[in-house]
Amino acid sequence: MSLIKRNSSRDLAFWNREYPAFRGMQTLQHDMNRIVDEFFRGDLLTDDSFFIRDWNPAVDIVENSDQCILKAEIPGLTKDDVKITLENNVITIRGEKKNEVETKEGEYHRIERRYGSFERSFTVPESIKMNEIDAQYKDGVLILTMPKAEETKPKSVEIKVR
Amino acid sequence: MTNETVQQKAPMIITPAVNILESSDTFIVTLDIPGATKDRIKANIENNSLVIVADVFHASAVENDQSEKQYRREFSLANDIDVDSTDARYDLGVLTITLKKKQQYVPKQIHVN
Repeated sequence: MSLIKRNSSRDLAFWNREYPAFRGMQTLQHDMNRIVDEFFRGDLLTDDSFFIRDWNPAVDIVENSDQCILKAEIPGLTKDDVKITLENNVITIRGEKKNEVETKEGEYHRIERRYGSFERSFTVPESIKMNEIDAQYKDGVLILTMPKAEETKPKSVEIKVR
Repeated sequence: MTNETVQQKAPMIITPAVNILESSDTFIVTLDIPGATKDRIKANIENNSLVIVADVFHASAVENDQSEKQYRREFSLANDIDVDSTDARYDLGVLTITLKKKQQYVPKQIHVN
């Protein structure tokens, strides 16, 4: 997966603002997207993960003129449970959340939270300064800040009107 | 032109994943709410239902108090919950709420002589 800029969500914001009922639609849409994403993220053909599904954390990637920011939601993991590697322009996030469901005494009414090991890889654009990538972990969210090299930033020159 | 700012008036509302574990004397409700800040998590018990609302803010938009998304989930509580001894903890993006059952509902084992 490469870093592709998303379309502007201005239209969504408009609908949200003008029609409160649409907010429910957006929630529904988000849930549907999540289900579809989780379905296709599993390697259906390569292994058993479709049936014994491991966990694939949700990721947001935001790009602006200075940097790319990658946010991964990995609630329940400690800082030491996460390993990040950068190899040939591919950044890989790995980790494992131990399954507490098997160890706790009692009866579970719902088990929706995900457990197991995960691994997600992303191709980092050439424009990123590879040795200045910074990672922070707080409140279950891993944030990778990837600054862009100076020469690749879009240049803006003001042209005076005479 | 490249940095088009988008003013989202309504935060995206997300239903967080939950585990509910019942033991002989407690219910333990665990929710994944990554990115939420501890002091912006509201957990209320009203009319026998537990309502959890947590806001997640843009890292860059602390001043204007505009939340990026909101976790929201509601549960109906059984009648045997002792609402006064409820405990909540937030750590590593996980909110854990422990609800104690009222004492008289705890099953007692009677020793047979």
